[in-house]
Formats: sequence, structure tokens, C-alpha cells
Amino acid sequence: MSMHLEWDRLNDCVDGRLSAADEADVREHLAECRDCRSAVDALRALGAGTRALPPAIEPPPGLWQDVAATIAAGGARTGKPLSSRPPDSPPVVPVRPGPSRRWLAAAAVVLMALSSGITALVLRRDGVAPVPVVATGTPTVPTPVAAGGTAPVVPASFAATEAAYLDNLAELHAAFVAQRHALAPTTIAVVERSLLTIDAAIAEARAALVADPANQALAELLSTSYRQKVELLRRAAESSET
Amino acid sequence: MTLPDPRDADAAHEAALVSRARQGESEAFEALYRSTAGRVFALCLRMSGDRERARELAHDVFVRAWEKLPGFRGEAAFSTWLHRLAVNVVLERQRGERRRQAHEEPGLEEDDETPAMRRVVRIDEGDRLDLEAAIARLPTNARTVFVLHEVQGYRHDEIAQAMAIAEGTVRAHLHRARRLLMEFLSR
Repeated sequence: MSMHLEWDRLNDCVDGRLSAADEADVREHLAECRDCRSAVDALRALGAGTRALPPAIEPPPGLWQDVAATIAAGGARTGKPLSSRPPDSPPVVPVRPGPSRRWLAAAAVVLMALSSGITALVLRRDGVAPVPVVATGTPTVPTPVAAGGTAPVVPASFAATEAAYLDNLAELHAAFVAQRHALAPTTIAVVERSLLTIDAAIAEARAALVADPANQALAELLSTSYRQKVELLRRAAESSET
Repeated sequence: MTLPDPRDADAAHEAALVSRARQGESEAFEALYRSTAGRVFALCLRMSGDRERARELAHDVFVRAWEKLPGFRGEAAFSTWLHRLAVNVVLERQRGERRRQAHEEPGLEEDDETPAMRRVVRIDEGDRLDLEAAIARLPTNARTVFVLHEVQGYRHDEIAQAMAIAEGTVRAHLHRARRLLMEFLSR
């Protein structure tokens, strides 16, 4: 028989997870063993100290501005500023049951395809425009309008959202290009590889949405991809400032 | 004559803000953010152990909250709903990171120490910061279980369900977290 109680039993004692018989044994041991009693006291003190931690911690400055900017980029269906949206205009991503298995599978296929080597140019499929790449290898802001071509039309419910994302991305991308000199080459490489991947995902999701305009799961997938690009460019810009 | 319970007034005020935010009023949503951001950030910080990551997580929580707000029916308080959403956002991120780590670094134990965990934490503001810093140094799973159980008050079975692990594993992570915390705090 062990001289002292096992750590798990001491913890279970403190958590009140022992059977009545076990608890009686443990209490009997604690009455005679100062070391185990000290361990139980320490565990209780740790619990009390943890529960006494403040429930709130001041968030970093600027967090709300970032949240508001992302929400604004997500946009209202009306295309108006959020604060002036009419009461009957819901946010761009309505709540509903999650994407169907079919579309989750489709998304998985997209990700597998991306990870297995889709690169700069996403071939036209179902009328989707290619994602152009500048000579440096930096993807440009994806535009739904192919040069000299006809833009495949996203559903009207998503058009304003896409326009808001593209405006935001144009600014962020210009800032990224302007600040390239301040970034480490490895950072630039990582950002550019990530941009290529996200651009490819945007093109895929967009093509699928054009082909299936009523599919809300695809609209959400496309919105998420745009949002990821906004976040990536924002963080790239932040890293050049530090 | 009995005085009105101020909590009723707070709940009514919150419900009114939620209703306006659901209609797309960003000012109402900002007011909800102001009243809840501290708790959300504290949760994200303690579960992630890193301020920058916590900032990203809190950002995602509020963006997700805005998107899901039309589905909020008021069965629970908004703060409760937001809290659950925050836990889910953090756990989702952790699952994604574990998958990436497994893909990029085969053989890495999810609870192995990382360089970030071994960094020296300068503490000079007393016991509370000692404890906060010690929690931040815990391995991911041990920290997650510890925070959900000890700080947030979740039961073992609830944590097991949220993290998709066995209850016995929750117990093991919790006990390990406590052992490590005592070691950190006794140095």
C-alpha cells in the first residue's frame, strides 16, 4: 500500500468525485498524513485563487474598430452602412442549419485541390474569371470581371457584399504592396503563398455560387474566404508596422 | 413598496440592444460589445495563453456573433449565448491548429512543450498575475480543460462533449494542469 494518496485521488477528493467508501478512506488517511493534507489544502487554495480571478480583462485598443471594419466589409445586403440598414434587412449571413454534407464535401474537395497544388491561375470554369497574378507572384485583388470579358453575376443578394469586400481588399492590397519593403522576405513569401491559396478558394467558391445562386452555404463559404483575405492583408500590414 | 431589481432593468436594456442589433444597428451592437468584450477577451486570453491570439479570437467571436444574431431567440441571456459562442470559436481554432500541427510536424505530441511555453514570463504585480502567467504556460489541452472547469465552471461531461474527448481524458488533463500550476507557482 502506498504511503501517500495518489495525485488522482487527491484531486478527486477536492472535486467531490469519490464514492462514499473511497471518501471515508481518504478522510481517514488525511487525518493522519500531514503531507497529503497539505496537498489537499494547496489544491483547494489553487481552486479558490482561480475562481477569484477577475471575470473580465480589458481588451486591446482598436479591437472594436477591427470588428466593425470586418462587419462592414461583410456588408449589408442593401450595401448601405450598417447603421442605416432598414429594419427588414438581415445581416449578410443568415443563421440556418449548417452546410449540407454535399457542400461540406465540396468544400473539402476544394481544400484538397488547393493543397495539392492549385497555383496562380484558376482556370475559367463555368464562366468564372481567372485570378490574375502580377509579375512578382503577388496575387492581385480578385475581380469578378475578366479583362475584356463578361463578369459572371453573383446573386443580387451577394453583389453588395462582394463590392464592399473588393473595395476593402483594394485598399488593403495597395497598403501591402506599398509596405513590402518593410517586411522580411520570408514574411512576404508566406503572405503571397497564402494569398494565392485564398484567391483560388475565392474563385472556386464564386464559380460554384454563380452556378448555384440559391445555395446559402456557398454564399457563406465565399464570404468566409473574402473575410480571411481581409484578415490576412490586415495582419500583414500590422506586421510591417511593428 | 419593493424596489425594482436593477438586474431586471439590465436584462431589459440588453434585450432592447439585442433587438436593435438584430435589425442591423451597429450602434446597438457596439453597445453590446462594450458590455461584453472584457469577459470575452478574458476567456480567449486564458484559453489561448497568448494576447495576440486572444485578440484574433475575440475579433472572430464578435464577427461570428453579428452573423448569428438573427438566430438568437433569447432563450438564454445574450451574454450566456455569446459565452458559449466564444468557447466554440476557441475550441474550433484549437482543433484546426492541432490538425495543422499533426500534418506539418508528425510525431509532435499535442501536449509537448513549445518554445512559447518555455519563454520567461516577467511577473511583478502579485499573485494574480503569477497565476494568470502560470495558466498561460500550460500545454494547450491542459489549459483549456483547466480554464473551462475552474474558471468557467463547466462540468467534466460538458467539457468532454465540447472538446470531443473522453471524460477520463478531461480528468487527466485537469489533474495534470493542477500539478503543473503548482510546480510553476512554487518556483
